[in-house]
Amino acid sequence: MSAALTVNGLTKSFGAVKAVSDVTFELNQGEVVGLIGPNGAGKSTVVNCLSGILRPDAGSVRLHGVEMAGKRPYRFVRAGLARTFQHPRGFATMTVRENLAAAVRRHEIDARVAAAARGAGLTSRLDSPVQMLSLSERRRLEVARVLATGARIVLLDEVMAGLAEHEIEELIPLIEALVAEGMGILLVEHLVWVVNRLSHRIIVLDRGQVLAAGAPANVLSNPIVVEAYLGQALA
Amino acid sequence: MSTEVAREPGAAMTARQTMLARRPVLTVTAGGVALLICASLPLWAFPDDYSVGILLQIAIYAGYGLSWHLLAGYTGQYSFGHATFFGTGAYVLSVLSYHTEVSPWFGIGLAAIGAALVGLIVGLIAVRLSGLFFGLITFGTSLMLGVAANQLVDLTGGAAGLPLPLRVDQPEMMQFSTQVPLFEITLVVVFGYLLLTWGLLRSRLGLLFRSVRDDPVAADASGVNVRGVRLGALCLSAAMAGLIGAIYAQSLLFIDPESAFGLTQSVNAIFTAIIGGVGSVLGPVFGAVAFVLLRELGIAISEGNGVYSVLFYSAVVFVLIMVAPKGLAGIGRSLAALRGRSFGKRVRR
Amino acid sequence: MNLLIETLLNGLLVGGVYGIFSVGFALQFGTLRIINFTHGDFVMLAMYLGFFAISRYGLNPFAVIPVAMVVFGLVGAGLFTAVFDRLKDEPHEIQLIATITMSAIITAATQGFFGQDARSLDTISDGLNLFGVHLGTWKVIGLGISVLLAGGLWLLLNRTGIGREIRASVDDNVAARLQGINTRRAYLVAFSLGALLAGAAGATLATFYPVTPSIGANLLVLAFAGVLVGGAGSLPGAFVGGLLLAVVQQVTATYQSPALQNAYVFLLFLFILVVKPTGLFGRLARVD
Repeated sequence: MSAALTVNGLTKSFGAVKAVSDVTFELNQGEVVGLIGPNGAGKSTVVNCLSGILRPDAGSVRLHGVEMAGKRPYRFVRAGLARTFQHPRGFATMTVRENLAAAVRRHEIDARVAAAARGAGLTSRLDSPVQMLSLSERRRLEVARVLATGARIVLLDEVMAGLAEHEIEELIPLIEALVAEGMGILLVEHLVWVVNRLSHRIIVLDRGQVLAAGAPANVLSNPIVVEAYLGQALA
Repeated sequence: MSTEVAREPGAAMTARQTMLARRPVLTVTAGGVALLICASLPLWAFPDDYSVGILLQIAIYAGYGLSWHLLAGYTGQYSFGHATFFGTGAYVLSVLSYHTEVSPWFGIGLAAIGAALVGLIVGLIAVRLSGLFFGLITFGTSLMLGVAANQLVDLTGGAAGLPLPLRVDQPEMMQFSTQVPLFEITLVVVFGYLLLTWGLLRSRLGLLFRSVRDDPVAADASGVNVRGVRLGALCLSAAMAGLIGAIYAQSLLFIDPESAFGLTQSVNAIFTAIIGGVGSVLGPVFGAVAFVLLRELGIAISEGNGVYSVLFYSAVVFVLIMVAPKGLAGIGRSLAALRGRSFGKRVRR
Repeated sequence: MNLLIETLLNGLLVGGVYGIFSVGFALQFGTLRIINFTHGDFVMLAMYLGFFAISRYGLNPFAVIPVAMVVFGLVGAGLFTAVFDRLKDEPHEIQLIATITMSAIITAATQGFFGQDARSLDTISDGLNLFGVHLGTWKVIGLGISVLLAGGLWLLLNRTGIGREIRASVDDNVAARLQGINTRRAYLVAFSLGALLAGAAGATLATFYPVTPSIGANLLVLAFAGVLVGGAGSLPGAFVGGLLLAVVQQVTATYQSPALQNAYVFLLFLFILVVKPTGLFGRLARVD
């Protein structure tokens, strides 16, 4: 069975700077692939190329066998890939419910909105204006939005950043539940312990290139990886 | 949740669960009653033709303002050259009336379609660019169309303008013995616009519009075809402005490049839409009343001197806007809140 | 061929001044994110100042220009404190109406005072012949002045503390605020600078262009388009953009007709935006 998301030779430059260079990996349904790397490694660029915000200079992005590179973000969503944003976004003049409703592409909007909110633990906040949400709730809203779209491939872009430890502990089972339902998740994170806990495989990016890839235990004990992260605790 | 720090999203239109909004039947009925009252004004309140002329102007500008308001309030696209569509509509009607025997009843429909087509062309260029460019591009198109109107003398009469053929008392050619019927027609159009705007606000399409306005990136990430939505809104707004522009030309039986495509005409749309308050569907209606009355007052005060009348109403609006930024409709809402009843309060089910 | 060179050169000369007030507009817009519809009217007022100072009071243009700069810089500072400082926190639609009505007030008041007739100075017809090409004397001087101003501005923006703060605010408004830059002071200076440049441009323009009360809108549109063509986040871009559009305007006015000049300017504007949406020097990421 071929992978749900296949990335091949992904390359993107900004002027003279090669932000991403020849990145190749796969993501299957029901697995979590962690994407880690130091600041400036190119993680955001990869996510942006995989979600339509950026057009790669070279390489291919195949979603369920269909070539998607360079298409606009909404096409990715309609094809089954959704992402969260590091700086939570949303429709400031609307409630949580309305935010999610905008993301539901099919019928039975109310049911899907309720399910998405439930999946992200936001049922109690459905009728709140998004401006009144706390940071961790806004992160959940990002996840809920992704659920509402019905996408089965999800890119979580630093969804834990800035959260308190207990808030992170609350989000982890949420993500595990999504995986259990069969979603394929690309988990981009700085917090290596979170990535270690959740991922089936880890990809390490450094200066735009894949430094190492494989099972968490192997990757995290790889001396090359340790060196790239000099000074940062890995576990 | 936009990228702007600490900036309130302004008095943007929201689907507030006001008393009326929760009972659509009540709203539509209230609207119907209001329509009847307005339609009957010429009978009991303003029987003379001059006053009806004023009412007609108010209706025209209300419709024009509503078309601008739809675009700005719904999709966050501020058009600095709405005269592009207004003028297109006006000229389509005028050219048809002058050169052919086509009845204005068809003419105004064709005018709306023509304006929508112009909107489509403008949109195909403009919707890929962010907000600032949009305003300037629409201004540019109004400028260019104005130049075209000036240059294509055989078609449009050039700078001197185009007079529409006088067909006294021929209702089938939309010319009547008094201003009243045209006023009634325009009133129906305006109420149609109000119904459309109100209905849109509550619909799924309205939700998509607002999502594009609030955060295009998030909308894109929610699967919304942002460009498509913007384009659709633009074409709709253009058609609305074009229809009104055609009525405008018909009401004067004359059109010229300056009044069709001029900067002043573009500014009129913005004025009307904003001074009534952007937060509510009725805003442009209040704005039109204020605009037309202020303009008339200015003309009266300055004894017909155009310059001083502009000075007058600009000064009034400026002072108003600095003192009460949320506009007339907003003032109404603030007053209601002061009295203890909050019309905009969210009601939980 | 000679005509082409003459037109191009004249366009460049004039373009320098246009570039200057485009930068002025970019300064105000880049920091406050407000489209200041009165900017063009400031240039117009400065032209009137220049016109009357030179023709009625016989003052030397070289003296008038610095005076105009100071006067308008101060007026700009005043206007910022009284109006724009408040306006920057209001929603877009309020800003729009406020600046539009201010512009209408200024234009109408000027029309009331001075009438609609164009005023032009005798200096307009002064010209030199350089390599067989006829150039307006004051246009050449105008170019010199704009180069001087551009240079002075560059020094200010790149070699002073306040200049750095202004550039940071123009580059990335949000980041600048987060970095704790005293944005209010940066705004005040940027806005006043913009007004000052408008004053300088106007006083200079008066020596080779006639003035009417309504040219403010025309000039504003050029400045706005120039800023967008040059790239919304870039000050040098604004200068180049204004210059480029002015050249196009001049060339079409000569070869086609003055009535069409703005149409061609817009066609160029559209063309550039379609080809390179962020503008010639633009670095702002296109979000959509």
